[in-house]
Amino acid sequence: MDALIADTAKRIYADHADDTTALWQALEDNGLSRAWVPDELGGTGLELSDGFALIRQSAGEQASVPFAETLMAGYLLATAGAEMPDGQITIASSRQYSATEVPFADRADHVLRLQQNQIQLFKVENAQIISHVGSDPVATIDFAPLTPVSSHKAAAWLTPEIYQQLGAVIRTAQLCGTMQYQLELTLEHTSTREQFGRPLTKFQAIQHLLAEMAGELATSSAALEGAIQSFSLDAAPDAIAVACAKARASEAADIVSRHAHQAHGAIGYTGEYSLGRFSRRLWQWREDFGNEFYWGKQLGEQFSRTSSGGLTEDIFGEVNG
Amino acid sequence: MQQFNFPFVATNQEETQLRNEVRSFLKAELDSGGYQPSADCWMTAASPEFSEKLGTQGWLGMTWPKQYGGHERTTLDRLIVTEELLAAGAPVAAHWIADRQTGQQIINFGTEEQKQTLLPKMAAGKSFAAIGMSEPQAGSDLAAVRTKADKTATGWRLNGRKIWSTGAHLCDHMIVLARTSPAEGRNRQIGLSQFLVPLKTRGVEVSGIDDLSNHVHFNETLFEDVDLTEDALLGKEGNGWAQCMGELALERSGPERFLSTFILLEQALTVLRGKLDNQGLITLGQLIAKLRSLRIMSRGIARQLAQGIPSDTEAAMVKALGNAFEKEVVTATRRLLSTTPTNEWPAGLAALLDDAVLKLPANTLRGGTTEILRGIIARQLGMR
Repeated sequence: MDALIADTAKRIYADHADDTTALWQALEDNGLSRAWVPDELGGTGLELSDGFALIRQSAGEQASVPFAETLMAGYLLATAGAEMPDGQITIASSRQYSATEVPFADRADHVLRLQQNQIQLFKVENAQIISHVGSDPVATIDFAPLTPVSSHKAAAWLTPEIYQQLGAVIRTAQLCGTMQYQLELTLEHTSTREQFGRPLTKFQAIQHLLAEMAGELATSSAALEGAIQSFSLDAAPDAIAVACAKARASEAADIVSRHAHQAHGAIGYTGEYSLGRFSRRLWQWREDFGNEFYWGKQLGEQFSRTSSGGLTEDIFGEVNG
Repeated sequence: MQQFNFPFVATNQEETQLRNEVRSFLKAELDSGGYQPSADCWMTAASPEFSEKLGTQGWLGMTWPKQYGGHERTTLDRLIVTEELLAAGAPVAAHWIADRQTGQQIINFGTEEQKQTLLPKMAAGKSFAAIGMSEPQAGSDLAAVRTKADKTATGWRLNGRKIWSTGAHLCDHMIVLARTSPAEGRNRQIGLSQFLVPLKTRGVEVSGIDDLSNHVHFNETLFEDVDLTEDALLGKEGNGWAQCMGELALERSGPERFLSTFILLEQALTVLRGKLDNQGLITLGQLIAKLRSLRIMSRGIARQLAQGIPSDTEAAMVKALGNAFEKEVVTATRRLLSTTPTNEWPAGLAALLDDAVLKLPANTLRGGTTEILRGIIARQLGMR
């Protein structure tokens, strides 16, 4: 990613660490919330990969704002050639793609959903926050009695499956950003915390936990990159690359959070210390748009179909002749 | 925090063509009975005849300079060929080490004469090489090697023993890590040097060691007053440790660190297609996700090594994750096959599964144990 964009985002998050209203205003003023909206529609027109990098980075920040959701909304609206309203836009993102559980629905200015080839924007009042594994607020919404404030015809290729794939890769980027945060935090904690007269980092058992965390993060990041490379603004992504990325990162999230808590001890289980909030993000995001088992099954179906070249062909690429 | 880099390398058209060539060759060989697919083929399935055929195809020494019999192709091209050979379970063990690391060490550190005489034979699949790192008392703690080389009027005299040297009984040369001067206090990495040792020399004795399946592929190699010429010293005297670490990056990063058991999954799927329940599909799919992620990492390292970017820790990561994956494949295949009667299995599958199980303990040991690899990653994280 352009270092200037990354630094700008980092500074904005640091400057407004305690005030999400001011934070959002700054993200909007700097064009970051419209990263994926093209110039001609009043956006910043960043590369898709830059937007994914911003999403990944934001997932390592303390502040809880629907940045990723708003970027996704911008992308979806742009595919319909529609302008994006100001403010926060959230999206339906619940597990197994039932569009009733919506993060940030109590505070976002708009809720977006894809319904029968229409991209609909809603104003939602009195959203009811539910108890949830994640740390971000989630509300259930009954769309039936609601009338959209605007509705835009989606591009023909933008099927519910592709909506889900886009969401899955966005959540994968967030999982990677959060896993990186947990690795860094655990490294810091184990470097300073002493037991038996030496820092925890000096114990081989602890070293191996962190080495495994780093490996899980690296392999998830590689899978994420594979999925991102297959995306564009005007065509369907590579479904297999997307499935691999979400399956791999969701599985890694389990290992990384488990090891992070093990290395931290009891302090990591408190509500005050940040580790737990980030774990709860991981446990939410690994479910959103399908968890590792959901995507595993998709891949299993794909790769157990009869093909003339066998698994070699399916994995390493089809060859003619 | 230290970031680990695995640049994404997209596939292209020429790649597809190369794959096509390798696949056609392998199919013809398989159909004509040229080989039997096996698990762990790069370590235990040695066929000098098959290696020579690959040499004729131009698939050995692919990245080496043409003047030394190489083909000046990219590291990515080599990766494609090795992936296909491994996926097919082809008998590639004879040449594997020479092609993967010994040739490159000779290019980097050998004399002109060594390059001219040895590399063309290696690229032709007619001369093989072994690794001389581990010793009976120096396994994971490699710097504890006791094999030593003393200066003589005409060169060096080598004494000591190396162990687990895979394929040494088929090889003409071994790169031996030996002590040439004392360690400096606690720093034992000082004073080590690498030697290119001809194995058909007086004083060298190679004896096979049975592995747990009573198969001989590794050896103990004894060096007793072996007189070496001046130019047997590979690279700089005292630089052996650093050279060895560079060699290990080549040794650890390739697809053989995650594809050793792939052939088992491939063959099992022929009977499992259409029969998997939800749990079976999930099991298969999660393996696919892991495999594809490992491939992206491995391609990234190949690109980086070609650009001369050190990737030792990245290679350690691929090996640690890849070896765990190989074991998972075997467990998963047992699970997936457990409800299919064996009389419905294709011919050879049961033997392949047994073979994979018997070979499996070695994969997390050879080339650096998982524990050593995690230590390398932890060091890069600044923990030690």
